[in-house]
Amino acid sequence: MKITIDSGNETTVTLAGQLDTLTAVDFEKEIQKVLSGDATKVILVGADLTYVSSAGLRLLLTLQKGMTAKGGTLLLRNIREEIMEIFHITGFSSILTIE
Amino acid sequence: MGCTSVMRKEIHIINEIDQLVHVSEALKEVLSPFDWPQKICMNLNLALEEAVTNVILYAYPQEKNKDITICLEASEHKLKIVLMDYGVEFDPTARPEPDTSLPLHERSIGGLGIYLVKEMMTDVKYSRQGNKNVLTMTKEIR
Repeated sequence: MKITIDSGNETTVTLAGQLDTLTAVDFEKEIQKVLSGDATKVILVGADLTYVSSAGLRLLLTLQKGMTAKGGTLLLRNIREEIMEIFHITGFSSILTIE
Repeated sequence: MGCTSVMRKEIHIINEIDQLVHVSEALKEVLSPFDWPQKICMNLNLALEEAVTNVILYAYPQEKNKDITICLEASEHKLKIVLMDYGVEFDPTARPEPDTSLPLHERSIGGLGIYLVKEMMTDVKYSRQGNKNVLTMTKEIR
């Protein structure tokens, strides 16, 4: 998986490839950095994100909870249909803001 | 491979997360002669990853190089996966299901993996056979 981060008050995180049990380890480190930084708005772009396992879902939940706790927002953009289906099954589509 | 009616494969992995790659490859291989829809294949890979991850992480606490056996059997309309380990007795199907309708602040971090397995498969059964955990997962398509 490729993680690209453009930091700032508005931070853009672009994920490409598979967010699975293995790659979740790298993503978790990046999430901790984002949450401890100054970002008040995080935009997660998933146009090339092709797979999300429960390890990835857990991190998205961590990121959403972390942003909410610090009064910020998280927005998911360009999520593929197959990933949306997983969000629907797990109820994530109602707790995440997806554009 | 045009006349293949059933594809079978048995693989052995050890309880390390990086072994998941072999599991995905094996699934791809048994499904390859058949015309299963891409999206279903992805969901099956997800279910298998979740089930095997559970075993890798929890079946053998403190022990390394322990065996996990995965038997795959695919045909045009059916996939059967049998996952076996000799670790701690654990029935993943007995776990309470997460409430997917809860709001953000009440959602907990765990329980999603096995929930996805149940959602993606047609049938999931656990049995304890001697000192073995046996999880049988089947998917049927029309």
